[in-house]
Amino acid sequence: MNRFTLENKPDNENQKTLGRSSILQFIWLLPTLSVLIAFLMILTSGLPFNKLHTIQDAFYVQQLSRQAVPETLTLLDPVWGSVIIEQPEKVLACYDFLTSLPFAESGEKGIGRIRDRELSGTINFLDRASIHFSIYDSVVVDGIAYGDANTKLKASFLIQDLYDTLYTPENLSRLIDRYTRIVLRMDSERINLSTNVKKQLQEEISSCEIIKDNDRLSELLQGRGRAVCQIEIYTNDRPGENGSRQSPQIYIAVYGNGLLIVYDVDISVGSDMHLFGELNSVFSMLE
Amino acid sequence: MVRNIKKPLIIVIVLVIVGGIICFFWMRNNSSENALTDNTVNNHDDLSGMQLNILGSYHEDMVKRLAQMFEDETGCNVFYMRLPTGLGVAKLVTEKDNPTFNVYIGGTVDAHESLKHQNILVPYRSPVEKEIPKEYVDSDGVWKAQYIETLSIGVNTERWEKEFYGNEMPDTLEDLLDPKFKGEIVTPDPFTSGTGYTFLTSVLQLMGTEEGWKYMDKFNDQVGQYTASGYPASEKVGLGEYLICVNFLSDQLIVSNSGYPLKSTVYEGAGWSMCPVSIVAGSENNIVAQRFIDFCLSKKALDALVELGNCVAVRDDCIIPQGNNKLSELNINRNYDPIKAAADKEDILKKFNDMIK
Repeated sequence: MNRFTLENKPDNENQKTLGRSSILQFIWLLPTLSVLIAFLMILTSGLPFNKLHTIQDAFYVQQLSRQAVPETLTLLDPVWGSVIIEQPEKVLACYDFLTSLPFAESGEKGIGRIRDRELSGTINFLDRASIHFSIYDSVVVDGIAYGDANTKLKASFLIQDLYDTLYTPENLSRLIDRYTRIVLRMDSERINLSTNVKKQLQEEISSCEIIKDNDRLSELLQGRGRAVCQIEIYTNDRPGENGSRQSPQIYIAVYGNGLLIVYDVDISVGSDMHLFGELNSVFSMLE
Repeated sequence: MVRNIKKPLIIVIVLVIVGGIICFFWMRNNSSENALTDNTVNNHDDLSGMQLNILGSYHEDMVKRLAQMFEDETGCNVFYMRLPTGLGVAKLVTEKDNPTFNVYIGGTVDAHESLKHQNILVPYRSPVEKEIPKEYVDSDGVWKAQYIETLSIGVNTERWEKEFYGNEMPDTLEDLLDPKFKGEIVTPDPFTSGTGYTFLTSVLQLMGTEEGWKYMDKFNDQVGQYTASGYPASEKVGLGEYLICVNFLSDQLIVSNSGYPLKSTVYEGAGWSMCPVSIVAGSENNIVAQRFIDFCLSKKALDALVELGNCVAVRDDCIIPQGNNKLSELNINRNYDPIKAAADKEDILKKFNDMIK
């Protein structure tokens, strides 16, 4: 009815009526809006947002910004020695793994060891005490054993990633020092290397190239023939129990085409590293 | 006048909005269809961002190399874990309801057979499997062999010359029972190692159950050490810790080709096994797992395994392992049945456990 009336009025009159009513509505709305805005201002006035705060103690500021930030990871393997890892993604992966471990389930009996040789390490922080951990039968963090059925698997994935930092020509060369017995073996002949030869061998190994490219590795493996000799590294030179024969902890099979295959006897099934380089110190002895 | 203009204007605006909405939904639908098509095509070339978890019972370097090659080829993230066959099977059985792994590679075929019957491994028909002889592919479509392994007796020649100079080296199963070798034999544990189980079951099949168990009882007295995996037995003999090993020929060849004094003899009636790959239940429709199985059967993957492991690949177009034969030239004991070995596994291991107590 009302609509009909409006439609029957002349156009300018209709518009005037509409304009008047909307102005009136706005006038009535104004006080309500003002009250609401005032209420919101009172509510938010106590909050620190959008305000500049000054902290006088610079040391405290530094502490706040650095708290619980893992900086480096030191790994220690009884044979390969220690290595400091600084790549953030590796350090964080290890930190995330250790901090997400559940408490050890009582009576939990997993399948197999995580490793056959203990791997220990320390995560160093910019400003908080370091975390010490070890991985062997289980994962122990600061003296407490953690883990459930999935921990061994996760630890295994982590170790697989971390071990690339231990298996390098530089770390291998560091094992060839004056305290370690190094034996050059050709057929049935064994020669204990002298300090000078060891020094030369150390330099040659550290300058070897690690082979990761698949095509290059294929080419070298297919053209390797039979090994020319072996270099045996005895990092643990104590006699075995009951006078048992002693084996090297690491050996390197040396091939005529420059390929060196490194085996970590205690913990690996198969080879651990493929290197390419010239070992003149060894070949001069063979001649 | 204004009213007259306003009405058509509103109609035009409404039409534009409705048209815009229709266009928006049509384009969106069309682009998602395109994306789906692109994804289907890309699945075969680019799996970047996807993840594959491998459980492997090959040597660690072999598992690692396959993982790296596949990662490089497809761009997906590959994680792997290496366990000896027995422990690998136990791991998969434990995780049956909540599997971590998508594929199981390596170990011996009896392990894959056993897991197949427990529905832990599932069928997948790979387009590449027609390129390998059908006797090396499971008729149920679950496992596909990558290579063949033959048992062998390995002797440290350097120690032999010093300690047994003038004597004949052992080259039969009976020779291994000679009292002078007591404590000097190293062999893998049948509980944890597929190699160890292959030796045990092949003796039982060769000699018959009764005679076979009598032999194993005497053989057990000769053993100085059981190893968890097959390969370390040859390493220990190569390095001179033990005089004799009984394990797979390819493992012995790795050590002898590295220059260590190890002589291998494939004895009469030696057992053998296939080393297959399979998809773990729960991943049957996983495109990454399927692609990995296809990759594992390719020439380049098998060549990579032969290069590292000296094994005999099931494809005849693969490279020839150093000191070993091609598949077509391999002289294996055809009377030995690895599938029967799988069927009898539980009972045999139980009896072996009672025997070594």
